[in-house]
Amino acid sequence: MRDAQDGRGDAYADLLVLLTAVSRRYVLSRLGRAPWVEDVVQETLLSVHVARHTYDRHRPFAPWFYAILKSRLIDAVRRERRTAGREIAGQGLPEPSSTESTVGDEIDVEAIRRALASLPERHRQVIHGLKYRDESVRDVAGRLGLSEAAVKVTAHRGYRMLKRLLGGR
Amino acid sequence: VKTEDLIAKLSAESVPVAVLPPAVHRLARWAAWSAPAVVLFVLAAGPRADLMRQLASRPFLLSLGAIVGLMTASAYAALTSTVPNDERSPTSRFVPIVVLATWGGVLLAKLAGNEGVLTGLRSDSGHMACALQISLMALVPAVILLREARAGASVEPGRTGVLVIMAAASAGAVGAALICPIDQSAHQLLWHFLPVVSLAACGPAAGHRWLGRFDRA
Repeated sequence: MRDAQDGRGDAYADLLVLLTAVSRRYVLSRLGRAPWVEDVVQETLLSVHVARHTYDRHRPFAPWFYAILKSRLIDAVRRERRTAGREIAGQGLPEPSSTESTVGDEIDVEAIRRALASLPERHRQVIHGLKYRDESVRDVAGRLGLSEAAVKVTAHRGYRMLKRLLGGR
Repeated sequence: VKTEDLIAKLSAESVPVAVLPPAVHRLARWAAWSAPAVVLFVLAAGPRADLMRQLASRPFLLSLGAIVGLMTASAYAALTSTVPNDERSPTSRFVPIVVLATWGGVLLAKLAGNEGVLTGLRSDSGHMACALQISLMALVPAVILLREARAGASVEPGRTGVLVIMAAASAGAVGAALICPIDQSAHQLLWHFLPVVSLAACGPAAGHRWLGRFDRA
């Protein structure tokens, strides 16, 4: 890390490779094989990068690094819980109305598409990104120049509008 | 993004970085910029008429010492909290809370001993000016301390925000103690102590807004 602080890219790359392995092992041991383990690892690497000037070279490196790793892990777990809670509670696209043309239990895709087309543009862009292009909130926020919070709020309002348009369920 | 690509990108961006100075140095820098701002405000507003006599009075000095202690402890804790792992030190975690509780506790005890808490609080005629002065005097110290805190990397931006605002509001309370001639405990509690606590309650929002360095990563 001392070399990395001095701007030695090769030493820094070696360090990041080592930290990747350590982070992955640590996260796997706590989360099991969650699909977002690699996200936590990458966020940890980014955090180490933006915080590398705060490391005091006269002190041990491990406590500094693990403090970052733990905080990124906790943030990720909280974020996933929030997302999971929202998706189970109300973010799923509404079921089609029984008055609309459906085949068995299938969703009336055409009705949803029409309802989506009638939403305000910003709401449509956010929902399209999240649900059709399968982008993360962060990706949509970056693409549309919004904050992550704004994307979540816009998506939530869009889902409510869709729900009303599709029969209020 | 693949992790290997991220490593390649980050290591390619590697440039020499200026290591963050120790918290004590940053604290001294904050005090050096904030103190003149508070002193100027006190001089502009006019210090209390009996200030010189009060500076020789033990109760006044103890009270002032508690506020200065809260200011220093909060600012130091705010700055240490911007270094990963240092935010876990007991000094950083508990000293500001203990000093704050001591200040509030002493005021409450004095109030209870004199006229009773409720009677004392009811008899206060309301002095919004003190709360306003504290808020105004806190502005410059808050901006400077936020800047110092942003130079680090807080793993708990909400807590750092509370500590930053508490330190700045305490700096305002130090100035208010030099201006305000009312020494009654009820007044001190309602219009000096509570504004500091209320302002500090805005800290999490400020912290997440301006100190979430990792969120911007």
